[in-house]
Amino acid sequence: MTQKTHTIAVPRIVSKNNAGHFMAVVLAVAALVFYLIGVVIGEVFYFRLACEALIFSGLAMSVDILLGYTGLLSLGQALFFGLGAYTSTLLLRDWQTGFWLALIGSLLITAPISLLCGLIAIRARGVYFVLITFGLAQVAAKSVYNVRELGASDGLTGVSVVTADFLLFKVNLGHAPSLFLLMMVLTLSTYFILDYLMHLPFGRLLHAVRSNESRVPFLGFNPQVYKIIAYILAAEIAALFGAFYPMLRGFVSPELLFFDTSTNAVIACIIGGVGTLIGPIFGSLVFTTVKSIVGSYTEYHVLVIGTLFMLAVVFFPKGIAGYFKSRYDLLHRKRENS
Amino acid sequence: MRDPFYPILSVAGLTKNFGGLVAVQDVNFKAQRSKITSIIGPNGAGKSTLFNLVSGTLPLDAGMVTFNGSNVTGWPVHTLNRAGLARSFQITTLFPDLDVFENLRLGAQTQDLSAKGFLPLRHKKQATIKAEKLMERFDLQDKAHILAGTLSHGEQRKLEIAVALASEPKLLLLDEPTQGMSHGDTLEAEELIKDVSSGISVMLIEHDIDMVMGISDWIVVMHQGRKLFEGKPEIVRDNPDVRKAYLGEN
Repeated sequence: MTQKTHTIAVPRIVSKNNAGHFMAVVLAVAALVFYLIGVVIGEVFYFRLACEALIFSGLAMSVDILLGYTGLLSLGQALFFGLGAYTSTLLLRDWQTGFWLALIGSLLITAPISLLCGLIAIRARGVYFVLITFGLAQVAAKSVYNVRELGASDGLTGVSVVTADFLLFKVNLGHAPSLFLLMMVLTLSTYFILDYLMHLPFGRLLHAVRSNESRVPFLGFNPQVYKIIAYILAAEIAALFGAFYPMLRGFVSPELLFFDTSTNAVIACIIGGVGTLIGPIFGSLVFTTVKSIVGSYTEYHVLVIGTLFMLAVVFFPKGIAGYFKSRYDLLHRKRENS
Repeated sequence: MRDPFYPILSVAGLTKNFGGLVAVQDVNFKAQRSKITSIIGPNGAGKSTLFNLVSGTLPLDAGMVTFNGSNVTGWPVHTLNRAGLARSFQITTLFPDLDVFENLRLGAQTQDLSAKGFLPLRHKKQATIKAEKLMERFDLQDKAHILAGTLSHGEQRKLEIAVALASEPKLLLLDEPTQGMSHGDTLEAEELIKDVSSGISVMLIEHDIDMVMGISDWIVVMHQGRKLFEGKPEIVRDNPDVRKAYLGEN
């Protein structure tokens, strides 16, 4: 009598029939091919560019948790990205803590700061939330810009090459292909973990907050609690990826905290597909590549990127991942019907 | 020992002003367990405000609300919901871009208190099973994967009640459940409400007077923010004051 109308009762870490997971696998395979070719021909530049794209993809995923799942547009995620980058720089350079403590330190310091910022920001809704996140990040950026101990406008330089000790093996992060592989593993693991979280009751409540926040209390949940958890989670992801920035570049600059960094992440997120988590990774790869290629021809690359962004929004309103998903689902339905 | 038949809800001296306008003034009544209590009254009588006060949607100016034996005055909405008081809305407020199944599962996951939404899979299964049962009960199985925002009005009204029920409340407040429904749908809703009330207490605001008279165990009549009268349906029907205020008869 009752036909089974749905199949996703229990979320899986990796599941078939999931367009996002399929895209992640495709990305992993493409990355391996890229790696092999790159190693054979002794490439360095594109490895480092890819690492940068992956670092910013973490920031874009962090935007997506808020925008795509909780319905909160943050124009200040650079605050936490920069916080992670600066903390990790100070720990690596001045405290010689090494890889793991630099990461843990960045995550630890982000927790209370994001809690504080979150408590301020989530009191407001809609455009006021956006403005508060923007304002908070501006305050942080201007402060760093004017504090000599933090390098002021020059930033902090002189982070030496980091070696990550994984007990069984060590990874020299100065070696571009190795750093690339590590970043790929980190990015994809982050994707799968976040995607899993978003399918748990916790993630579903974030959906509910996005869909109709005022109804959530009548389900027995306090939406503010879920918004603050999402805010802290997003901040931690941004800080984690930010902490890798000095490991790639050897320096940090206050630009990391600027408005551009925040908006670039939002753009990457939208190009890739809001609310998909995998989309922002693709969006970030596309964005960074275009920026780098166009940037080598003209200093007006922002114009080109702006135009591309508008075209993307007009022709692919659901982003790369959204477009792919509709194709993928269609194909799947056809196969099931035949 | 406590009387097992103490009322599920009792309100005393409930008062609410909006600026200078007195919306609800000094209202007292009790809703008995496993009964259907209806609030009726002409437009602007303060019925919806009364509901908003009881469900914690609006803060009250004066008075006391006792739910299931505890004083719940001033409790936030989500705490009240956890304690077993759920409500539906006159204007449908679902999660429009989530599907029917997801709307119900969200409603059902309230009971997963220990999990807090993060861990055990067992709890998630419970919410899934509950959502399935509700879809069956409300004849919404075919719509499981349809977005709530695209359902027909009647279906949305049904889903509205189902979502409120999903948290397995002790008391269900229904704000004009048949609002905007066709006659056929209203009859169906009437059956549903009767069916629902076999296990839990129900309080409803309703305009359809035939329906109210048919299903209520107790009726509270509101007029200009005050309680005009209360009693069993047949007594309310014959009360001259009620007829005058509500039906406009002399």
